[in-house]
Amino acid sequence: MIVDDLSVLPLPDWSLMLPQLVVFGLAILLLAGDAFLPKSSHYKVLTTLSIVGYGLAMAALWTQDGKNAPTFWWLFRADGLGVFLSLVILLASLITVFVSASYVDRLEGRMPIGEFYVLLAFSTLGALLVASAGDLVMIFVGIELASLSTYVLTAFAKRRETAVEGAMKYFLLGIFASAILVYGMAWIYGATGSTNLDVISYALANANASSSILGEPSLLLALLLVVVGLGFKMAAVPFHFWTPDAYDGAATPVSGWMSVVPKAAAFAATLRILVQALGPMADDWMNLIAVLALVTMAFGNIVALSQRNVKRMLAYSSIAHTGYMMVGLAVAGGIAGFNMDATGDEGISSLLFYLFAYAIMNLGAFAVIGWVQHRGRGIMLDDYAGLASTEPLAAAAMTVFLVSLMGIPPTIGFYAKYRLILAAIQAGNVGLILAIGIVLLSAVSAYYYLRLVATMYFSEPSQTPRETKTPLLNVGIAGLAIATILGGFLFAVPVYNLADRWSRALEIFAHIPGRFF
Amino acid sequence: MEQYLYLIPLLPLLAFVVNIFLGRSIIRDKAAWIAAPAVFVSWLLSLAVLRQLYQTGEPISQHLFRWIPSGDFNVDVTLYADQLTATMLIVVTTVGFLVHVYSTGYMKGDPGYYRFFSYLPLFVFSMLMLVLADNYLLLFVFWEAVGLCSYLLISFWFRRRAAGNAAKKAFIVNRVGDLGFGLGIMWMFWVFGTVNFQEVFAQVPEIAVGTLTGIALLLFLGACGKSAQFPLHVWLPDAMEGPTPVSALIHAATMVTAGIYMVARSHVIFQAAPNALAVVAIIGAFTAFMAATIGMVQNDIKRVVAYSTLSQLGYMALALGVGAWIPAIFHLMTHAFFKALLFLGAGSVIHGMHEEQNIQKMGGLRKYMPITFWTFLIASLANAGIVPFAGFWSKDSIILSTWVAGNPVIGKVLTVVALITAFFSAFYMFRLVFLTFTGKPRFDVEHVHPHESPPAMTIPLILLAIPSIFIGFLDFPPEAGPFTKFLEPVFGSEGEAAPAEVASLYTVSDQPVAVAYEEGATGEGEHAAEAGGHHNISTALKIQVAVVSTIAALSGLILAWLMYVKGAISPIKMGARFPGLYSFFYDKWRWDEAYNAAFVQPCKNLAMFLWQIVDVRIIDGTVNGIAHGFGAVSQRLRHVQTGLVANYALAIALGMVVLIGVYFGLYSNLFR
Repeated sequence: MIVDDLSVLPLPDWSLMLPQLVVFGLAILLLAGDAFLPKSSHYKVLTTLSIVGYGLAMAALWTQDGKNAPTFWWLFRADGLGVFLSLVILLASLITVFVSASYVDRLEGRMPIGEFYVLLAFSTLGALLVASAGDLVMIFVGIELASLSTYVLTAFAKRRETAVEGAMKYFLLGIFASAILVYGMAWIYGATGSTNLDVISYALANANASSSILGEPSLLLALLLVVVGLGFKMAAVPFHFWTPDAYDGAATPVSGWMSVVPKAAAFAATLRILVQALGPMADDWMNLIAVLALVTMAFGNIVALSQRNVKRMLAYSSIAHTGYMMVGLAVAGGIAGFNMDATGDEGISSLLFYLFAYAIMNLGAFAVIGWVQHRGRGIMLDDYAGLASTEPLAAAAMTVFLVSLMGIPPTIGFYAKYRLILAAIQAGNVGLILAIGIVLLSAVSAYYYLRLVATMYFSEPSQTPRETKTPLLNVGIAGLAIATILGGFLFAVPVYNLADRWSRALEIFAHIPGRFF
Repeated sequence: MEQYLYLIPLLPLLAFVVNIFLGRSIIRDKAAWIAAPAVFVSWLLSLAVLRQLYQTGEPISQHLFRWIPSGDFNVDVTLYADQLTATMLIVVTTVGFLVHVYSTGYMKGDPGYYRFFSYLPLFVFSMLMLVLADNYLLLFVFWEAVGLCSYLLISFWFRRRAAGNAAKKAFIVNRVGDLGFGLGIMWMFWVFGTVNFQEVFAQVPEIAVGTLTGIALLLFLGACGKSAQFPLHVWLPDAMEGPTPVSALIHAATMVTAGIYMVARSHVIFQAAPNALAVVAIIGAFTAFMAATIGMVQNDIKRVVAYSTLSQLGYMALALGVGAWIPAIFHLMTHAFFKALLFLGAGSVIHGMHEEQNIQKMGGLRKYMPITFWTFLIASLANAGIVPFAGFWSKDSIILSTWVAGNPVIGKVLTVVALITAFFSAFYMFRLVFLTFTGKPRFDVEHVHPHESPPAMTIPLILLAIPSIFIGFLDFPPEAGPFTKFLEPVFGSEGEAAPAEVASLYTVSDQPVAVAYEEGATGEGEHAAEAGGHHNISTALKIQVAVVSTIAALSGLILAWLMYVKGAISPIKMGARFPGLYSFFYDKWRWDEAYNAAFVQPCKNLAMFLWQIVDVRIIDGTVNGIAHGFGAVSQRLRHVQTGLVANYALAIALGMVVLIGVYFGLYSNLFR
């Protein structure tokens, strides 16, 4: 950002980032509570505090809705895209509190719940900052904030070797990818002279007219480096290797959380950088994303077939879902560009809605795994034998989530996949191939999802359950199951319409002061 | 009456709904009290319809709702009652009500009592809708509905394998006919752009004869299935596995005549397609003859009556085929009464004999069940065509119409066939009567004690015996009586095809039918003159035909008397003298075996091929092969996940290098 005269810069408008400030305040309060409250009260007080905090932050999102204004010198922007992504992230964090409290408190040798919530809050804050970032620097800071907390959370069940191993791999590869990402950002700055997303877009658009920069190897290199870095964060093949090990190693609620919030942050960064900043180069990255999407969903689904560990299976399934969501990005490129207005581009809307649906159903599936672990069962496929006869409700909820992940009506997963395929089909030949890929690979995915259902319903129970009470977790699973079913028809359209407002993200562009150039 | 027309079918439908939903739990053995009154009220309303039509002569119609509104294709649910419909309404509700009453006695104590009295009004509803429909599609819907009811009622005792098989056979054989009927309706819509009766008939003169012949033959294929005409007749004898009241109502009096009704309803199309008419006539005569030969040697009381039904349906088809629409409907009506009576009488015998159906094990039942005997005798006289019983008048007018039919070959040959059949009819009817009711008991008198049936069963017998005697006089003098006059507005002068009809069918002419028709289309004047020929059937000819047919019937009766009462001719010796013919008749001309070899087995083989080769090997093989392929790929790919972080980092780096290499090669300006 080139600024000549600091004195003319407007003062930051703090009110625009109220939700982020709420989460920040929550993190500080949690830290203080962890330090000063007696240990015995941690579980109750800090859990309540977290639930209230995320609830308040979600409510505060409405202050950002429809604002479409930047603040902090265009580092931060309150726009529709940010609001929707923040909604998904905060919802996922809120649900995570519900499903993780008892797990953290009781299983794997009583982990310190205060620290857990603090890390969760900081990671959430990082993701929120990415979602509403207006600048490459902000994106990087946000991603690192979210990632560093997540590395620690992965290793949170520290007495288990696999947890430490997974976290270590995640961390090593994560910093490797971050380095690649920041290197790519540096190349973007070098080529366009700015880190501001809108300015980059403007510079590229003008370059497009004179065709001096496009096709320039430096820009292509920047693009590819950024895609590799972001591909790692969202677990796209071949940058996905950390995923199964980290998901398997982490405590189950953390796995669920990791499969949603860091992924949402990664998609937020991708949307901000590729669509908003590098939109004028859409022709260059569109096919790249399309190929990655196809490879990712094929690899994820196929390898998931041979997994007998349910958490690893869901890890590969989450890779496959990354592939589905990348389809939305790949077909958005067709109409994307800096001058994109609220025309009927469905690619990104469908991606955002898919993220929302995916958050609900995937968190639900991991929540049931945690619930089952509470009752003394393992995480292998065989541990689920006959679950339906001993724990009928849990099996039913799991079936709902798996059916939704498969994309079968009337669940929210069906509607999300339907919108995605619809958007893909409308986007021409590449989109058509991707749509066919989604459909065929969904058929493949049905095998491993249904295998779990069949194991639960048609196998003889091998274990007697341990009696235990998990009221919060029960509420969380019930809420998610209901949302998964009702989301298929009741609130699918309103939420989708909300997602459709993403296009307002770029309206600010016109107001950027001329002296920025 | 217009605004109440819908009540006629609605009441039995309501009875069905009430009985099927509440029958098992609440109504149970009171189910008849729901069903029978509903049909009775329908009967009263049908009488009112008849009365109004008799007085005004104007068809009644009531539009209920538009069923299919779609662009050019609109189908209304409109009830339409003209004289033909009114006749059918009376037949259906009269026999329907009496069968309901009879069934209260016959089905008493059956565990499926409520079910029986659900299906029965459902059938009555469907049959009433069938005859009230004002377009082919609606007719087809209820055509299928009566088929469904027939299926449900044949397999009423579904624990009996034979009943289940018979129901399936009836349903499947009818599918063949219904395929033809359905295609005929589609073709009709394609040509006419509508399926409404009046709209279709109005356009008939504009359509090519070949097209009309095709449509007519397809429609007749449907009629063959429903009315059990050769080659689709094989289901009807087996359908006797159902309860006897069902046989009386559905498989004798009403449903099987739906095909006759449909062809009569479509007479405008048929009389414009003379070749199709010739087919109808030949099929009808052949069915009548074949069924009569089989009926002569059967030993099951219901089967004999069933083959006599087939034979009489053949007479009706013959009448249709020679364009004698009114005699066909007249015979339909008389037959409905006396054949229902025969079946109910047979049911009474079976009931009294404790489920014995073999007439060789009966005999002398006259003294045990007098009411059954006398009513059965009346029905047999009617069926045999003995003066003055109902069947004589209607059969006589069919034979007369055949004799005077336009095509001399068809007309004269078929008249001879019809007369031989009349002789056979009288023979098998009285063979049945004599073997069952006269002579010495051939059952175990010590253990079997036949008894007369309860009043619930005998009263309907008596009530049916009355029309069986007298209803023939409705059309006295023959071909010119009140019944003919009543129905003439329907068949008489409708559209421009009428002169052709009269010309080709009623003129005592040596011209072939086709030629007569061609001229009918070209020269109006000539046929206006010939049209008068219809009324010129001389009284002398009528009397001659009546005498000849009476002689045929009486000689059949006398032969039966000689063989089974007098013992002058030994039936066993007769059978031994013609062993081939006897067993050929006894085995029902071996159609079942022929169909089995020609259709059923090849279909089974094809199904086995499709199942074991196409489905299991090819389709399942492909699907399973793909699944195994994915599994194998998955097993290999999972080894990529080595667990070594250095490998992961290498994969990321390699992926990056590949991407950058490809992109720089393809997109950058470095190498240009």
